[in-house]
Amino acid sequence: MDNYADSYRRYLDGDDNGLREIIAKYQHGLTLYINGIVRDICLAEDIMQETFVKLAVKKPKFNGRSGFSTWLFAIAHNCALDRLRRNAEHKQVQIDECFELSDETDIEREYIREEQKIELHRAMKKLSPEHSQVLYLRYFEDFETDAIAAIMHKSKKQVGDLLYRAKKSLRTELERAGFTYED
Amino acid sequence: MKTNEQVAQYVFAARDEYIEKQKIRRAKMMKAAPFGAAAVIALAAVGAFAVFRSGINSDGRGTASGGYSGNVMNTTAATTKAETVGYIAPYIMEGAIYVDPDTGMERGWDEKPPYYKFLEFTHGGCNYRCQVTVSGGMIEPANIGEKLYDVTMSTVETFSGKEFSINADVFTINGIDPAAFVAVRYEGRDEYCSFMNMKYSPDDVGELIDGLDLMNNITLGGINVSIEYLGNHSWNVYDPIPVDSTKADIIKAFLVECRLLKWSDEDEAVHFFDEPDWFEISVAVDTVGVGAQYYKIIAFNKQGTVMTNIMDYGYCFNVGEERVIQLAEALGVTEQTPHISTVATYDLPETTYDASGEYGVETTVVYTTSFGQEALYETTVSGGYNPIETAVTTSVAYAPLPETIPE
Repeated sequence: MDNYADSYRRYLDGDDNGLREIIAKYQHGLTLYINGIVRDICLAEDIMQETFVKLAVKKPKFNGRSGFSTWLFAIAHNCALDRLRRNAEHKQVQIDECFELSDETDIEREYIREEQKIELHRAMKKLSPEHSQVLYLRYFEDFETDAIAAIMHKSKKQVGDLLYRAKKSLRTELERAGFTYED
Repeated sequence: MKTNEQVAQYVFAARDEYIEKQKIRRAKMMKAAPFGAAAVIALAAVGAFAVFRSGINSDGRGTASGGYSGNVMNTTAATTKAETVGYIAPYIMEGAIYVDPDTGMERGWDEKPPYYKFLEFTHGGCNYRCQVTVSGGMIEPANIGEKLYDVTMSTVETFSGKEFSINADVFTINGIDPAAFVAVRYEGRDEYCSFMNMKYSPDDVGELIDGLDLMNNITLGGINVSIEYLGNHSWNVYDPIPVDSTKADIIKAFLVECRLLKWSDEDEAVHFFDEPDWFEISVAVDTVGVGAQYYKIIAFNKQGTVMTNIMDYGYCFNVGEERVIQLAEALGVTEQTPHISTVATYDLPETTYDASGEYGVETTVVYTTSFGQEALYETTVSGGYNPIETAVTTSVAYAPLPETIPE
């Protein structure tokens, strides 16, 4: 069990700082991951907040079967799919809110930091949503395949195949952009 | 970009608001409790009686006019915030993502057909949005009615920032209320695309049934039952229960029974799937071209709420826990035998096999219950990925649940 599971337990016991720690740790990572699903940074930030609201309001049980971060990303994944399911609400963030909310470049700089990785992240945006999601979880969040499978509701085999195809697509995209690709 | 503290403030404010709302709701429920309980019981009893004694034609369809002429329940649900249902905040619509199935790459602007680029228009207070990229969305020419008007749709291409426009003809769809759906034919194209009014706001269940002529148009797919996964997240592992003509009649009768019910608070749709116990029926409304390609459902949870996303927005009404359980029993949901679902390995030639450790060999996950059942989901994987792309075949095998569920 990682430290953030302890933070969550502290929040459940009534200490709001527990949730503050979780927000500080995962805010940007979740936003970039959700952006891979919904392709709208305003909406992604909105869903990231909704994920934390879900944690704060519903206080779902964390049973420790998976890592805390896997569990949290799975909740975020479900929130994003729920939002897409309620498609009519897609992109409902008001325009004037966006000025305050969203600048993907800032989030990338704040969270990813390394210039080379930022370039890679940008190239990933041109891939299909599933491909960019699986690459993001593997190479930016360092999740193992079984964790990615749990988050994305797929079997490990499917994730492995998806990862292979995603890397292939990314290679094509990078080569098209003039980069030299190394495995 | 919001700071950590701004997000935290938002989250805690939302939590406090939710707690406050719950207090108010509880207080209201305490006041209305004797009435509410009676209404739920009356709703179930009168509803069941109305269905079985009356109105539906022998083939389960409504009358020729698309409406229903039989007896219906003469009661209302506890909450009636119809004016809030169907409201959509304004937003800017950009082109939809159009991905090449072979390469996984998004296709260029010039390669996209117009229904991937010009996705919405506003007319007479209605905000119509194209359904092709979200829900199937093509309409058979035989179902096209009279021409209503012309529109010009505009959009901005994301990468270049350039604005593009196109003219289109707007038609009625036979038997469908144009306040709900219209058909659009883009300039220079032959196909008719389905456009949904995102501000469509029927007063009650009956108006939605009539507006879409559901008794004649709805196609019911399989019934999926949820089980609990990762705490409170649901995932279907059962083989869907097929909907035969008997079950279809039961579902249609149930809808007719609910004709006079008003829509519930929006909040119910937002939290519909929070609890693990629910089942859903996949649906398509062929005449308006939705549901064939993507996920449209009528869902029922154990709290008695019925939800549908046929109009995308989550429309809910409440029939009470007892009525939902009664329906679940009538549809055979509670008789469903749990299964082990084994996703078999891909069919890869040995010579190109590469078990490089990208992913593991075998995983078994035990899940908890839904509608009083227990289930086990097992995924068996026998190796790594194939470095040479080959056709991928996946098969699913089912076996009865063992007596002892491994930890």
